[in-house]
Amino acid sequence: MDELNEIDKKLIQQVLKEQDQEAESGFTATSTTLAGLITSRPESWLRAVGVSLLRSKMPSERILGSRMLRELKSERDSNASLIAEQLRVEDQNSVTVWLLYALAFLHVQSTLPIVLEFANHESPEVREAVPDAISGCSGESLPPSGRDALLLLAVDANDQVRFSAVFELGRWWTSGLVDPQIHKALIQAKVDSHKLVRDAAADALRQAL
Amino acid sequence: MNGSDPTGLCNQPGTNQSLVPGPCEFSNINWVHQAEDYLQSQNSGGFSITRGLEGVADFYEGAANSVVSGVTLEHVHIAESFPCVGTWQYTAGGIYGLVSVGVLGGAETEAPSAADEFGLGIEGSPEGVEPGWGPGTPKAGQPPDDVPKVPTQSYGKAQVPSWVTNGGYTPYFGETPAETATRIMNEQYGEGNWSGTGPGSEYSQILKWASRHFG
Repeated sequence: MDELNEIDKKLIQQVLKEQDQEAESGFTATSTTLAGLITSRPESWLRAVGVSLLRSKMPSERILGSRMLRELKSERDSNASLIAEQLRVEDQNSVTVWLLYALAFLHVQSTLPIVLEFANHESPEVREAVPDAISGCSGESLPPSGRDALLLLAVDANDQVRFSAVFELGRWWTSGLVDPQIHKALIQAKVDSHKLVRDAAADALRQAL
Repeated sequence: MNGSDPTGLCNQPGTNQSLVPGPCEFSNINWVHQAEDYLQSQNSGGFSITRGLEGVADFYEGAANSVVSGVTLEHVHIAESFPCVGTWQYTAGGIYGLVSVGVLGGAETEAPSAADEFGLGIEGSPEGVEPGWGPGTPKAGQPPDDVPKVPTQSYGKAQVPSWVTNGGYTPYFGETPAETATRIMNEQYGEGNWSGTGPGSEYSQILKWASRHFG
């Protein structure tokens, strides 16, 4: 942040303020300033600021940094590596969630191993983000390690985690991945206690017919 | 207009060189008018989207203070203040989305103080409008009781491409999640101009978001 001029510093402060308001509203509010920055500023500027924010001591700034970096079309590998590095040392679950979703958007397969380390995380919000990141980082085919993590999360104690995993298993199943274990997991999920999970499994099985 | 600039940037000279110079790509604001007409029809005519445009113009005038659009809205001429940030369609879409959430989103109307920050005002009450459902909502029938009316997860914005939430996209009543995802992708990229519906794709992310948050 120190290298920014005064106008840019104020803009970032404004975006951070709006991000706080987004968080207070359960992320139903929208930061128009962030949208404006992403569409108007060069990627080089967004990357420089995003990297700087990602290394901040403030959790909200690290979240904003990940939101900027995940939007960039250039230097995806490098940006994903930076986010993965932060993921390894991150101590705030709220930031970890955003970092995992950022990796889901960047589609860099080399980050899958670090994603898988969070499949057993104590926070259900973090575990819920893992299936998205697995699918996002897996490329054209789901590796066995990714499949095993999804199967584990599909029977998680938390229903939102189960939905997240069953949905991704369903997407792989309907995309043509033939795997008896995935099929078995979807069959089991059809009778889950939570409607979202049941619907996700039923939709996938129906589409694959 | 500068008096309401939340950052005080309006007093700064225009030094932002990153904005695209030249005339705005989108100068036709029929889209904005349609949005306003719809919102007013849903809100007994008490809502003015132009107040939101004024507020955003205030902020970006200070931040950019350079490129302007030549647009006259029904209530306010803002040709001298609204910068060409990205595209009209995108920026107006964000405003429309935010306003739509405010008008139609039920619980959200109390939450986003960012709207106040930019002067996005809501006048009147949105009686008879189901919260959580977007503009263009078919009016036949009511959503079933077990369908969530508003997004229920804190990280909804993290899970979906930013242009979805910033653009104000939301499921319509009566749509399936797959229909929602297809419509949103078509509106964003144009029908036939996008591909990839597999795991991890933008389509799949939107499908998951629509399934989870709107049922």
